[in-house]
Amino acid sequence: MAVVDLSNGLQSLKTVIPALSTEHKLRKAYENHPRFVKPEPVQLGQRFETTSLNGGSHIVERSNLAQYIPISKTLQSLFLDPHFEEVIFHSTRDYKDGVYTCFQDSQTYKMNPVYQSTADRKIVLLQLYYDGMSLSNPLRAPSSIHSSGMFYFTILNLPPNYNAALSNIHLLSIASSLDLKTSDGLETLLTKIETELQELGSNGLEVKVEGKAPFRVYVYMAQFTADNLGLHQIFGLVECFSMDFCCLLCYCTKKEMQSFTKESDCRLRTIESYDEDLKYLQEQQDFDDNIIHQRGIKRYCPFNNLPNFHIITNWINDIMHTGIEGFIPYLTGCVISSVASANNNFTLEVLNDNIDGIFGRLQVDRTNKPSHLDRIPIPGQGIGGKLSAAQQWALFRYMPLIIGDFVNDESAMFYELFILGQEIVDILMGHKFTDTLLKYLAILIERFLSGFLLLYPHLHLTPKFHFLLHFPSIIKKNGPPRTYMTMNYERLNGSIKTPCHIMNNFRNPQYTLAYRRQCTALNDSLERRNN
Amino acid sequence: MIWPNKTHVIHPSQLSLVNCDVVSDDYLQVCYKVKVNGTDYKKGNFVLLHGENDEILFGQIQCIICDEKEPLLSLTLFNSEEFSSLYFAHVIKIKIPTETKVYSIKKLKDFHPLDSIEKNGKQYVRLKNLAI
Repeated sequence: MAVVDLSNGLQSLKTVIPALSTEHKLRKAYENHPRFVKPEPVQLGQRFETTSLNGGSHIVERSNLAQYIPISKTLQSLFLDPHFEEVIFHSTRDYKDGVYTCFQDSQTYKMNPVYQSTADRKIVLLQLYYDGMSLSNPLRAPSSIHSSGMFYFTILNLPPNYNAALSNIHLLSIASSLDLKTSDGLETLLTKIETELQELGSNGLEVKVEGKAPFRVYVYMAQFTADNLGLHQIFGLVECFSMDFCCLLCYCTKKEMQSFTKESDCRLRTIESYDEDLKYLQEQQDFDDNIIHQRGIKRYCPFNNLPNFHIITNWINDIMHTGIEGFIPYLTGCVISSVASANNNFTLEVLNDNIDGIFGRLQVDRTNKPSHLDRIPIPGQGIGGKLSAAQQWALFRYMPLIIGDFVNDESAMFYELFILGQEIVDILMGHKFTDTLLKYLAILIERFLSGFLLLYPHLHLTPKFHFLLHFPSIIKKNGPPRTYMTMNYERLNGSIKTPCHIMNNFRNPQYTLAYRRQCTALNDSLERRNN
Repeated sequence: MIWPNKTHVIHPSQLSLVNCDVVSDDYLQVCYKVKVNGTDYKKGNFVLLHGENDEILFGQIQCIICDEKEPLLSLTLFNSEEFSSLYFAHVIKIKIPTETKVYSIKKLKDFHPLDSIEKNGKQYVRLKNLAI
């Protein structure tokens, strides 16, 4: 009797919400919700595929489709939550001259006539992000076939602590990387984004907030962030970082990068010089198709058509790729090697034991414990192993406690340089900057780069060391590096691609992932509302 | 903000047992772990506080009071005795006489929870970034 009761009870649970009893009904429920934004296909081009049908093979024409979630619809959906409107337009922040805590404190914001002429209008500032993401297991052969180009955006009007939450990162587009690499694939998608931004900036977007009369907001892309390769891909610059003119901000050659230690040494790129390079490139390409770039410029970027934005004035560099995964492991490897060669008591076993000892006593950073090193690093080759960005950063921060006791007179100079690196990274990772602090940072960076060249003359400075000298100016022009660090976006990449491993369905992964992300976004927005 | 499943109801007379500096006539709900904007705060973690006259002040979380609006951290206060240039970390010592205070997360000098490490008989705290 009890079993029958239990069985009946379980049966009745199946129909608690009859409207959601099947996947089809669940999807319908999502799609009919006023806050759900369905991805729209955008045609990037065509391709020909060979298919077998009735024993024979046929060549069929297929469309290269990207999934696009219009910014206007996402914003309209977000404004349906009255709390969102309150936070975005009515939260009070202290703006002080010479203090940089967010984009609105930066020179770019204060000096851009488009933002300043909109004093009587409500404006929404966006930060766009792009990255390539591999969907399948990298050990599987066709991993590159299924890699995707991901575009996201966040809203810069929100306080920085809100933007730390993944639910406040919105999907803009997903496209297959192969489709983006075809002749006009990337340009078509960028033009689509640019056209929508033009419309939202000039005519605005009417939004409805519960309990208020509809009003118009004007939307602008204020920043574009990505890793170094992503920025160069989107902006139409050279994608090889071992050649001359690989810096987005200046005209440094590979040789100059080895000796320049301060920004005033560099010739900076300007909009005028960019236009000249582009014009010269087009003239040269009329005669010779083999000419790929002119001083690092490969092609025009459609984002330059926006009235408030130009790729040359978008002074952004990602501290995660340049610092945490760039010069930090390089420097850590160098100092471990220097300390080990000066002190025979410092061996690989001692180093690994100390890492275990320190990280074993941690609570907050326990999860970021790095794996054992398999050898004492060789200077110039990083620290080896495959550590995540969080692990690299944690190891760097606790390295003085791990190796400090083994420093002797012989290795003291190398260790001092390492401590200088620690100070620079601590400042760069801060949430608040002042003009005085930025001047001090520029001095530290100059001392650090000169010291590195002096102590490790046989090593060459990688481009990531060079990008470091631009950071004081980058912060002045765009605010703290944390506000455009790609770490959060990369975290979202990780959670978005998880269903791919579970479903193992690679027929149209871009659509599946975009649809699922939008379902999650709807859940997040409903949860926020209920809280 | 995500509250843990496990919360404890504490009588006002028991507040001193969990090192909580709150005067209340009513029962309070406390917990030992909370997630705010994606950051976990746990009992035993250290946080950086605004000190008076450029003093560098840390607090160790004793418990978290589940206030309706926001979580409140009950902290035991620690002073920074010196900054060790060798280990690039602050040497901290408990404030004498022992002091406990309740802080809102918004009022912290830096929102990151921190670890402390005992080495050579001293307690060290490494900041996550420069906080001004």
